[in-house]
Amino acid sequence: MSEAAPAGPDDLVLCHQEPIRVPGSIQPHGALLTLDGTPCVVRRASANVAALIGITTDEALGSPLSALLEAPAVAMIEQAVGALDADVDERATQTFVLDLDVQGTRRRFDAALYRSGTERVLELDGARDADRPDDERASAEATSVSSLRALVQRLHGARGLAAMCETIVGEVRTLTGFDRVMVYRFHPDGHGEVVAESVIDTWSPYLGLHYPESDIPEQARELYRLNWTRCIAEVPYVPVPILPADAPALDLSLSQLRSVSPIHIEYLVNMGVGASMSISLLDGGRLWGLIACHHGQPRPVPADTRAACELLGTTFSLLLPSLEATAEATAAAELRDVERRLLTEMADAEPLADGTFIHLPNLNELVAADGVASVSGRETQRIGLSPDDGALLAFAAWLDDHVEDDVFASASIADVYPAASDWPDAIAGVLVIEISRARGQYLMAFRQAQETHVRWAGRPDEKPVVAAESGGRRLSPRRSFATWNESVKGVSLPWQAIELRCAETLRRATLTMIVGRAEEVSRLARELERSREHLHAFAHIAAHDLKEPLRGIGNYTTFLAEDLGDVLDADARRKIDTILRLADRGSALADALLEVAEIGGADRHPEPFALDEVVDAVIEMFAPELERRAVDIRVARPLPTLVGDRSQLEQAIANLVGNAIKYNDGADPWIEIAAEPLAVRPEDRSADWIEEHPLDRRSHVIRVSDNGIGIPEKQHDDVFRLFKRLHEREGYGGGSGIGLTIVKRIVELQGGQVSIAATPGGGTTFRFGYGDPPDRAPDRAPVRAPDRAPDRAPD
Amino acid sequence: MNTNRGPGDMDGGTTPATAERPTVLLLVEDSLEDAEAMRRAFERCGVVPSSVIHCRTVEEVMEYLERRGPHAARADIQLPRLMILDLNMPGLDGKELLRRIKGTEAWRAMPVVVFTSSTRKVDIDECYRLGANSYMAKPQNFDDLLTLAERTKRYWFDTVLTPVIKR
Repeated sequence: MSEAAPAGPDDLVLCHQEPIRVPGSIQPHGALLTLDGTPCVVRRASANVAALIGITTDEALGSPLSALLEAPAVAMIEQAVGALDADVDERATQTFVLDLDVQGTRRRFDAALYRSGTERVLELDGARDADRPDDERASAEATSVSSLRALVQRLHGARGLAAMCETIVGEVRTLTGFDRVMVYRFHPDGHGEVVAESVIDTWSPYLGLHYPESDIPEQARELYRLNWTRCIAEVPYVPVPILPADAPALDLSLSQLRSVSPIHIEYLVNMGVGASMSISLLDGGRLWGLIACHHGQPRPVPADTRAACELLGTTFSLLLPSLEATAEATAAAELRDVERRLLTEMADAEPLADGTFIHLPNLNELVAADGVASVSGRETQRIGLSPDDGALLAFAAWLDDHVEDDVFASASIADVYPAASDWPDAIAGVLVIEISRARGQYLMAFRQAQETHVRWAGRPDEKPVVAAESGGRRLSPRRSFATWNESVKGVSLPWQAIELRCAETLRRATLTMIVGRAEEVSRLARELERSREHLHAFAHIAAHDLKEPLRGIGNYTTFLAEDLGDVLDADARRKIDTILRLADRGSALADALLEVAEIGGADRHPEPFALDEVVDAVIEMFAPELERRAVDIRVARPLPTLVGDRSQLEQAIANLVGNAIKYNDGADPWIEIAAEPLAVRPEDRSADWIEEHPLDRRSHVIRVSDNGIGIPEKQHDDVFRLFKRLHEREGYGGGSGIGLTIVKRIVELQGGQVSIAATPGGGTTFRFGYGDPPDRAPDRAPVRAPDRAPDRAPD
Repeated sequence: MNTNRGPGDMDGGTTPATAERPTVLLLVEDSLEDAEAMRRAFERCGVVPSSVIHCRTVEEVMEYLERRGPHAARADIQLPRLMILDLNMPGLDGKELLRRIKGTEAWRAMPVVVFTSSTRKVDIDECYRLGANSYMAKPQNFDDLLTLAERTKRYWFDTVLTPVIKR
């Protein structure tokens, strides 16, 4: 077990404070000298100069270069110094190959010369036998101009960012021979994700893993921006101090040999890494990501290979803006496609159910969410993870008062809306699209907190990521994960700019659709009104004009019969009678047509009236018949007060009572009239309930029952058809066959329905819904007060 | 005496009154068939055919009332005792004629019975507002027409007193 204290925020702070620019030491695979003045005098030397170039630090410190090295080497160095001194770029680096005599053998080094403060720093690494150049062939071949050109062209040829990342990891791996090469991309919130990887078969892939922001501290990122490449040739290593130790700290920002943070070494050791290299990927001046290379064994990278990697990194970086612009343009084009498709879909869609203003899956398509919901007044719809209906409505009410943005997004909604901490499923991120504040219409997308969502590297249950701890460390990635995990609890992945734009687009599309639909509805209403008037006028004129010739036929046939008088025999008289009867019937049908048309033409002026009075009027109308047939008329008084068109209802009841009298040849005829209020209040009726109780869209159900001849069930639908008669023309007192059609029209004009049932024991029972519910709201949502709190929730 | 009395006058004794003051029924009807049926019906209930004037258009009615055109030489000095007016006519319709008659001082007192196939509430309402003295729906068969003609004749010519309107 580790003897270290448990990692906590202190460790993380410590990590941020690490002096990684001025470590005071270098990695052991190279040597470092600082040179001052002209000609050059050595001021500092790494403790390993004796081992690498055969000069002790005691000899070196304070000595002129010419006293330490042979003349050709000194001349070469002085030449580079001259070039460096002439370069106005403070961060310029001169690189060259330097051959030195080291204890009798010719050694070749990769030399780098750069400035640090007032001193010049000479770094020598890649030591090899100068007389055996075979070693260099492979890398020389790989880094030849023609090879590099081909490589750059392959990068150029990659179609899109993802393809370029794929290409570059393969190329870098081939070039360097590392076991694992990854493109590690920084997200806007600072955390990183492995987006491309090339790795040897025996290692577990890291592709798709996310790393918390704290894994790469800010000052490390700054160094990544300054240096295109960084190498750690051997992990772990013993750092080599730069002497004299008491000199002011030397800034090694530009160093290739710089000793890295022990925490970072620990990190690499934990991952089983023996050597690493990283290549910076910049987008403009911003650190976009890294190409991170790991090797199982120690692996120094030759200078020419590093230079090739740097070329790849810069090429990638140069291509990035255009690729991102292309990606953005593609995304924008896709967005337009989505918008177009959404509009088309919405336009083609069946009219949406009441309160529904959008097909929710559309939102899910546009933003990556764990759930989506819509709120419209008191109505909600939910797909996937979402707070329950009550919580949604409460949240919508909060939005009404606190959010003025058309599109509002938060990755940790509980920060501004504490009630959200009770939401289920660790929902933390919310994106809200306001459709209509006045109607309380919102679209919402929900995201869970990150810890439930992302494959985090360093997560304890993901073994391949981190090797077992070997103890003795102050801070390890696994522990940093635990710390970090606490810090992001209740925070979702951030909503991306593109997603907010999508949301804005969806909002526009939805509003356009709603406005369009409203216009369409009012246009249809106008058209309907016009065609209703036309139809009414047409029926009227048709019926009227039809009657004139029918009248003529009747009259002239009568004249004929009168004028011919005696001449006509019985057969002729029968034929004349038939003509007269047909003319009468034609007239009656035209009259019926007029009557039906009249109902549609009448404007509704709903007003309250007493149903008792209506029934009284009907009974009075039929008094002679009721008396003659000794009909027992039973009325369940007191009848309620209804809201509707009184005269139309009177006509409907009269038609039903008239039928009930007419179609009853029993000995003790009776008719029952009753009205029952509905037990379930209109606003409490669910869609399903209304489906099952169509009559009950109205305030009351009116029932007219009789014990007459009844209607066979299979003809229950037929009786409402225009001019449909169930009995022979002269049976049951004749009739035009429109009575029930008129009842149905009157009831349906009011939004109700008529049903027929057999009366128990024989006869017919008609039921129909009638009466406007007194508390029927004019709109789905109450009108909200215009004044609201001006405060605005933070994004 | 400034009132018309019909064939069944109570105080006029028997028929001679008709001879000096012929019953004039002005029938305004664009349909020749309907007009013939009405003539026949009124004749059947005792109205002398020659005392019935038939006009087919508003213009003809105006010519008659103003004694123009074919009516220029007419000698009678009284307006018809009753006008029976169809609403639906080509050109100016019955309502327009009704409006003119009831809007003209000289003609206003003449009883007008609207006789039409329209039973629309708006038509009934409008005609009475314009000053119609009665409104009747045209029956579809002759028997009913006969009944209506009989009642009309009995009411307007035998029951009520109507003004004598000098031209």
